[in-house]
Amino acid sequence: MQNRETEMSRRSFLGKTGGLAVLVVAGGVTTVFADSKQSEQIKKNPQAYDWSQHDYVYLVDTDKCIGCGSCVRACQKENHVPPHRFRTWVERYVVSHDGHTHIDSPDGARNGFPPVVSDYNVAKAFFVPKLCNHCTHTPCVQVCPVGASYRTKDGLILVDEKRCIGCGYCVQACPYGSRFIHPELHVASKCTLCYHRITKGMLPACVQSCPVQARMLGDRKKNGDKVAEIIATSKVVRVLKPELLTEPNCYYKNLSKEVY
Amino acid sequence: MSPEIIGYSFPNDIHVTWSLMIAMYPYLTGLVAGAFMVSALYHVFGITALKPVSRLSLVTSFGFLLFATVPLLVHLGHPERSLNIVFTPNFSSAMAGFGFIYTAYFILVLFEIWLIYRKDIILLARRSRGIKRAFYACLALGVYDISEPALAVDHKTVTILAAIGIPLACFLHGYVGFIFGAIKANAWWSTPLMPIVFLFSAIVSGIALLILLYLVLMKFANKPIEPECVQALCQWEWLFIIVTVTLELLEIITLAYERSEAWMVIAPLLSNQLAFSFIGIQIVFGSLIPIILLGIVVLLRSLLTNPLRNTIAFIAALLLMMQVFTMRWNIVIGGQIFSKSMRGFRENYSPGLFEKEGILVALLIFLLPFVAIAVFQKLFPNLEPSSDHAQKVEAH
Amino acid sequence: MEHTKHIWRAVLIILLVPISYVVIHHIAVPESFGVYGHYRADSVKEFMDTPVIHGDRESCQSCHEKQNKELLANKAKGKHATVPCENCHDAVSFHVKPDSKTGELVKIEKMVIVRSYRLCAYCHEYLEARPNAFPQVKCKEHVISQDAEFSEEVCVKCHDPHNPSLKEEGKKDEGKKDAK
Repeated sequence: MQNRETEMSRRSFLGKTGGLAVLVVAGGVTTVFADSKQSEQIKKNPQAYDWSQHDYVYLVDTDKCIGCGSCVRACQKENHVPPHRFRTWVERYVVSHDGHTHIDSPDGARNGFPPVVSDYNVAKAFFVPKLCNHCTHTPCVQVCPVGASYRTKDGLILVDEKRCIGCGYCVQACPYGSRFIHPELHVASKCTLCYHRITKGMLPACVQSCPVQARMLGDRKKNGDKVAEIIATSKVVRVLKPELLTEPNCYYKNLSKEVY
Repeated sequence: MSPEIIGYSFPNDIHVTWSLMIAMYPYLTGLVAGAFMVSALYHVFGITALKPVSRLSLVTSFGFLLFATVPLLVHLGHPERSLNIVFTPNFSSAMAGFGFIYTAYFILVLFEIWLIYRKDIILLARRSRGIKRAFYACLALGVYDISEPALAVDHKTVTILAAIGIPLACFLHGYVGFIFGAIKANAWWSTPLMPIVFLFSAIVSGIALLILLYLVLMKFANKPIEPECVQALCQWEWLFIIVTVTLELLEIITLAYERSEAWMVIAPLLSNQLAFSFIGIQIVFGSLIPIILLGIVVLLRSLLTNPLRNTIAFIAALLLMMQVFTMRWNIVIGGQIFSKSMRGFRENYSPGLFEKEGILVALLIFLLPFVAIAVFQKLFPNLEPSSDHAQKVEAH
Repeated sequence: MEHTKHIWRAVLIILLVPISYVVIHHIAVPESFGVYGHYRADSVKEFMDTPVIHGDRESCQSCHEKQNKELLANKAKGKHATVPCENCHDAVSFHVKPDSKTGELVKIEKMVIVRSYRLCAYCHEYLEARPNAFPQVKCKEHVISQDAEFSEEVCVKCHDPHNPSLKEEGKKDEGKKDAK
């Protein structure tokens, strides 16, 4: 069964993918794929991608994030994100000793954060990058009436822009606010984890642009994957809104309790 | 351009994705289901006092059914792809059943109306000449059988269709409530009570609409208004609005009493952005006052003159039409005022007058069913049931 | 069953609805729909085929390894080694594109060079929420403390953006303390 599916997907992608007008990236071995034979293969022949060989996970280390907004800017350029809509954004939390929490995310941190003067005694302050959680049991795919939203075999949630009727039900159903209706295309739009990049062995724009490695991409089906290892072994890794049982595949390391 | 935000909203949550049109949609299907219930009360449950509105209720239901999808089409980003919902329905989504339920109900109501009007159609076909005759002959499907046994078959079929129609109408509208009630991400929507509240308030709006239509049509046609019919409509309306308001309040009270997480956003919502439209209009102006007015009609029946009863019924029905719309609005828009961050509220949303999903378009869509009813009345002049058909129902 | 002719005719017409549904369904559903699940399989391919805008961390080297050998070596040594070129400049696809015939990269636009302190401030302006260990300054106070005059391009006067540490170690630490 497994073999047959693999064969099918390989045939499909080999057969249907024509000449990719990709900006060919020379020397494109990236950190996550560095020791993978497959990334070498993809580099030479982008059609060689086999989605049954991957199961992506995403990890955010909130202790590292400096709130520069590079990820937001890179995402918007890479994916032509319309103004005031966000595939990823960064939140700032400033928590006082008595538990008062001030949160902001000016224009999704597209232009970073301005300094603020807090009028209370700050106990802790930190940034939290947010994006689509690519949930295993995602309500957005469940509620899509036409099968435009779907989950790929490598674990990502995508929206077929040619089937989407723009009803907005998925936008309502996402508990994380990760979706929006594209103001020009009039379809639901969201983070794809830069599917056009990761299937070529590259990193998502947000991961790549992060100057402090606060954002990481992992692959559960890759032997010895460091990110998957951290997620499996760490006691300080958790997901957002676990009580909703959506089983996010985006994990947070060192996440403060104020965040949900 | 960006709305004012209190607290912290997820940046994508500041847009109201479901606009006035999505409040219009459950309002229209509610009227469809509600009006059908009135016809079912007569055809299935034998409430003979409702005889004068038995045809009107079915035609009203059909008129609104014709245009129930229009607000959805106006709202969709890609209306030209709307049929994807029937050709590639994703049955894990509550919305996917829409096309099928709608079509099934559409066929049922059309079939039922046809059977009820069949004798009229045949008589019209015999009386007319030329194109008109051909038109009515086509509608009669070429069969001119109005013998007693044939009409008996019609009558039996109508009763069966009306009986099937009740669960179907409940489904058509209950499922709209379910679409909201089954969204676990939204604290204001997510409750199993939602379909039931939608259903009961649909019946309230349906009866209210028939009270208004009946009174106005009779007035304009200079025909006598049957006091028994108005009285019966008021009694049923009273029952259903009491149940509806009880359910609406029960939901709020449970949340408040439980001090649930949802209450943390709903309490500020009800005391700020929705204070006027929920407490002011939906509860006090739209429910409390009509309950008192209808209570007078029901309890002080012997003291009322016919014109006084009609006036009270008219005012109460008007307020209830407004109540049900406000309830739709408060659910649909209220659920988008707060962010899923559970910490942020946007300023209240008000639709523009001229925009695509604005007030003018909404009013236009609301008027279309009335135009349809008028056209229907023109083609088939007997909105009041013909006497022999009615007699049979009475005998039944 | 006598007198039911009209009913059967109506039923026949109603049956046209499911029949036409089956017919149209055949035409209306895309071929690749449902191959892997309840979606159009070709959509996955379309996502894969979306043009890439940013290169990867080594893209720039393919040309600039030769052209700017020293600059790249200097960057690799310094604290900004982990900062991708495209963060401060622009995405590589706005700068070069593959020639349609030969596939060789051809320059289409001069790369953006921003000298404004605002770019530096994205990362280094002091914010309470930034990790303490991360180098940050209150930009204006820092400039004053160095007896310099504040201007738009003030940062790059002392700091090399590709390797921002100053030669004198002492001064760098001072900057960090200013923030506290």
